[in-house]
Amino acid sequence: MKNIGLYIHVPFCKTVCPYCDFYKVRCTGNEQKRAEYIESVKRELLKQKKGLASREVDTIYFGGGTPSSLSSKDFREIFSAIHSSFNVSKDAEITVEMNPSSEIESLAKTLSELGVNRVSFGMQSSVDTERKMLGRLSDSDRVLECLEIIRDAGILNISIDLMLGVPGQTRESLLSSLEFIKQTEVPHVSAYMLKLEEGTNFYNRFSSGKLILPTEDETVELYNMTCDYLEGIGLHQYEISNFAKPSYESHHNLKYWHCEEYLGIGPSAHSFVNGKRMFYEADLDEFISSPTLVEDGEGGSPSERLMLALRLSEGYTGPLLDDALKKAKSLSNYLTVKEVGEGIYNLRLNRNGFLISNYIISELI
Amino acid sequence: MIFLSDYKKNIRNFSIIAHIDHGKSTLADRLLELTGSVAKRDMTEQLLDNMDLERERGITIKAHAVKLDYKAEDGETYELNLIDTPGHVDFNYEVSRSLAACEGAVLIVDATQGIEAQTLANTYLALDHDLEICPVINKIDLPAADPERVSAEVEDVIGLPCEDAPRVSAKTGENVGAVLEQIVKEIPAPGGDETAPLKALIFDSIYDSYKGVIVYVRVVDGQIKAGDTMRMMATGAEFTVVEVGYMRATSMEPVDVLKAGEVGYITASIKTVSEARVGDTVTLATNPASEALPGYRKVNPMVFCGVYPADGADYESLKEALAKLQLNDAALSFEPETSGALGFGFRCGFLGLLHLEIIQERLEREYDLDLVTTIPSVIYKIHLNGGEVVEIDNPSNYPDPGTINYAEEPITNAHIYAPPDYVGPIMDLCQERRGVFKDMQYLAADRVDIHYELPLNEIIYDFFDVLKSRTRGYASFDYEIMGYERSDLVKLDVLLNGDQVDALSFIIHSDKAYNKARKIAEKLKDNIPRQLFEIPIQMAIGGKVIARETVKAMRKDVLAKCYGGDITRKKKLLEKQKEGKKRMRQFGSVEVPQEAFMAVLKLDD
Repeated sequence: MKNIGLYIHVPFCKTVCPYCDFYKVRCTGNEQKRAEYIESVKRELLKQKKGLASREVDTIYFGGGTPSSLSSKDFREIFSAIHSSFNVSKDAEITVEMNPSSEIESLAKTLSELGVNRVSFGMQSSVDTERKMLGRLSDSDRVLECLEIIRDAGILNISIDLMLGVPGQTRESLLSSLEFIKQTEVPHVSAYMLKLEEGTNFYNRFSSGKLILPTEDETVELYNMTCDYLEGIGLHQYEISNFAKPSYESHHNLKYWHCEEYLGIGPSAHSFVNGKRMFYEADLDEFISSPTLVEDGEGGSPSERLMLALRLSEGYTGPLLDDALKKAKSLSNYLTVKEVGEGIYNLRLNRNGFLISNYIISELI
Repeated sequence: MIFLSDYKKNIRNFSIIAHIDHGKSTLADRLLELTGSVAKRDMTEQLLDNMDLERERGITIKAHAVKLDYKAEDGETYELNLIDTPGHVDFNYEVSRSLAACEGAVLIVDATQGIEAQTLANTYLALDHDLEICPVINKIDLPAADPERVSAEVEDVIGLPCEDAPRVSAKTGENVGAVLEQIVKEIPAPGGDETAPLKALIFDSIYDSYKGVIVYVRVVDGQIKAGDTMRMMATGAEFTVVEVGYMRATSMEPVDVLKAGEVGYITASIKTVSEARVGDTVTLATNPASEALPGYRKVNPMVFCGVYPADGADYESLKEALAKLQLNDAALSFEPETSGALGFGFRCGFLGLLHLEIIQERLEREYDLDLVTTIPSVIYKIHLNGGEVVEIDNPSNYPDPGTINYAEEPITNAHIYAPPDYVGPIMDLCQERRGVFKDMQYLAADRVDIHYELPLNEIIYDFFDVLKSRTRGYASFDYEIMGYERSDLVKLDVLLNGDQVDALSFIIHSDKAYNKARKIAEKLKDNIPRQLFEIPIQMAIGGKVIARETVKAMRKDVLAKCYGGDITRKKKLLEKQKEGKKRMRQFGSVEVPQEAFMAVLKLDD
C-alpha cells in the first residue's frame, strides 16, 4: 500500500485574523477545551489507524488555527499517540505552522526534538503597516528573531507565507517584502492572493465599502512581479502559489495536488482515505464529545485529478476526453498540450493560465 | 319569510387587510387554530399562503378563502368566511373583487409601526366597497409596541374609533379570541334574497387536475346546487354544476346548496380558468338574473416579453409548463416566437412586472426550467407611410424607421395616494417619466390623490419600486389604460463585440434614449463577466452609436489556496462555475449571463 499523509487541525488562535475563514476558536476562555481536544485527537488517532494498518505515514502537517498555540506538553502527547498508532517513515516531512506572535522560544526546541523538520511561517508581509492591517501584532524585527530561534533549534526547512493583494499593498511595498524574504534565505515561499471569504471581517468591510483592495489588474501585476522575483532568487514556481529551491517542495501539500491519500484529524479536517473523501464537522464541541467522520463521496475521479494537477507547474499527465482536448487546444495562449503516449497528454498552464485557472479548469472538467 | 333568511344572521364574510409584514398571514393562522379549523400538528406557518413563493416574499399572490365555525360568547355558532386578498398593484383588480365579496374587513395595524401606506390604501379600498372595518392592533408582544399611540393614530388619520380595537399578538396568540368576537359583533350579516334569480360573484378560481376549475364565489342573490345549469354572464359560457360546497382549511366540504350570503365553491368540469374569470357573475340558465354584478373587467396582459429556455432542448417542457400555469392564470398569455440570438421561445403577456417575475420564478422552480427573458415591452401602434397600422409588442418586429409615418403608445390614467409631504418627490418622479399632470385632490388633511397621465412603458419597469423608495413606502398607486397617444419613439439596439443582440433591443421615447443607452451600457459592463478578450458594448439607434463601454479582458480567476484538504469544496466551486457558464447565452463570441438581462430590465433612474 502507498504511504499516507497525516494532517492535524489545531483550531485555536490567540487573535482572529480579519481575512481568515479556517475553523478556529479563541484560546482565551477555552483552556479546558484545549485539554479535551488533545484527548480527542489521541483517541481519534487510535481509532482511525484501524483502516490503515500497513500504511506508513511519510508526511505530517499541523495546520490551523494556530498550532503553535499548543504547549510543548500538548505536542509531546500528540506525537506519542501518532507513534503508537502509526509507522512514521524515518525521513518523513513533519511540518508545523507557526507565526511570530506565539511562544516560539519555548516550543522550537521541543518540536525539533519531536522530529519536526519543517516550519511554515505565517509572515504574510514584512511591511509593518500591512502587518497591522492583517491583524499581525508583531513587527518585522520579531519575524527575523523568530526565524533565528527556529533555525537555532535545528529546523532549517522553513517556508514563509506572503500575501498578495492586501489592503494598501503597492509594487514598492511588495518589493520590500520580497527583499526581506531574500535576506532570510528560506528555501520555500507560499505567495497567496488574498481571497475574500464570506463571513470574514475583510469580506464584511469590503462589502460595505469600508475596505479598499488592489484591483484585479493591480493584483495580477503583484503576482507577476512575485513570480519573477522569486524565480530570480532561485525559488522555482512549482504550483500556482508555491515556490521552492529544488527538492524543498512541500511533500505534504503535493499529496493534495497529486490526488494522494491523507488522514485529517481535528474539527473541520478533511481526509482522503481508501478512495473516500471524509471530514469532521467544523465544531470543536462535537469533535470533543462525539467525533464523527462524515462521508463526502468518492475521491480521485479523472476530473478531480485534472483539477488538482493543473495547479502544478508539471501539469496534468493522463487521458483526456475529446471535448476537453479540443477545448484545451483552443486555449493555447494559456496552456500547452503535448501527447506523451498514445492517448496520454500532458497539460501545463503557463502563468497567465495559472491566473485564470478556475476558468480554464471549469472549461475542461 | 323571516325563517328563510335566519341562516344569514350567523354568517360573517370578511377580509383581513394590512400593510405588508404587519401580520396578516400570522393572524389568519391563529384564527384557523382558534376555531379548530386546523389541528395544531397540521399547522404550517402561513397556511393560507400555500405557494412557496408567497411564503418567501411575504405577499399573497392568489386570493384564498376559508370557512371557519366559531362558537361565540353569546352561545351561538357563527359561520365566518375569511377571504384573503393579494397585496400588489398588479393585482388591484383581484383585491377589489375579493373585497366586493365581503361585508367587513379586519384592519391590522402594527403596534410598533403604526399606519403605513398599504394600511391606508387598503382601508380606502375597503371603504370604497362599504365594508365595516374592525381595527386590530397587532404585535403587542414586541418591546417597542405602543398600542395607545397607534390607536390614537388610527382614530386621527383614518377616523376609526379604536377604544374597542383588540390589542393582540398574532405571534403568541395573546387576545386573538377578541378579534373573533369583534368580527361577530361589528361586521353585519350578509343581505341578499335567496329567492331572487342567482347572482354569484367569482372572486377567484383555481385549476385542479381532478375536478377541473374550482370557482370560488360569494352568492349575492338566489341559490345554486349540483345539477343546475350555470351561466357566466360576461362570457355566456354554460356548464352543468357538478358539486357545490364550502372551503375548509385543509379540505373541500360538499353541500347540497349554496345560498345568498354564503361563500363557497362550484365545480362544473370547467377546463380553464379563463372560462371562469374573476369578477364575472354566475347565474342560472333557467332563471337568469337581468343584470350582472357591477365591476367586472376582462383582465388583459399589458406587459410582454420573450421567454426562452436556456437550453433549446427544453422548448417543449417550457410550452407544457406555460400551458399548465395558464390553466390557473387567466391573465397569462403566450405564443411562439423565435429570436436570432435566443432560438425558439414564447412571447408572453403579463399584468405587470411582478406578475412577470412570479411566472418566471414559478417556471424555474416548479418546472425546473432555466430561462432567459427579454426586456418587457408594451403594445405600440405604428402607423406606416402607406396608412397601414401595425401593433408591435416585440422590438424585433419594429419596422424600418424610414417606413414609419408616426407611432403611438399606450397611456394610463394613474392615481397616486400619499401624504402631502411627498407631493414634491412624486411630481418629480412623474415628470421624469413623461407624465402629464391632471389634478390633485386632498382626500383628507394628510392624504392627497395625485392624478397623472403616464405612458405605460414608463411604469412597467420599476415605477412602483422607485415610488415606494421616494415616499418611504407611504404612497400607493393604481392605474388604468386610457388609450393611445402619438409619441416620438425610437428603437435602441445593443451590440456586443459588434454583433447586434436582438433580445436586448427595445423601444423608447427619443428624449430618453441617450440617457438610457448610457445606463444600459454601464449595467451591461458591470454584469457581463470578464472574458478572455476585450468586449466592446455599443448602443445604437438605426446604426448610429450613441453610447459605448468596454468589458476588459479577464486576467484573474484563481483560488490561491486549496482549502487544506477540502478538495470537495473546490470541486463544487468549479462545478458551480461550470453550471453558471451553461446558463449563459452565447452572442457571437460573447457569453452573457441572465443577470445581465435582469440588470438591464431592472434599470432604475
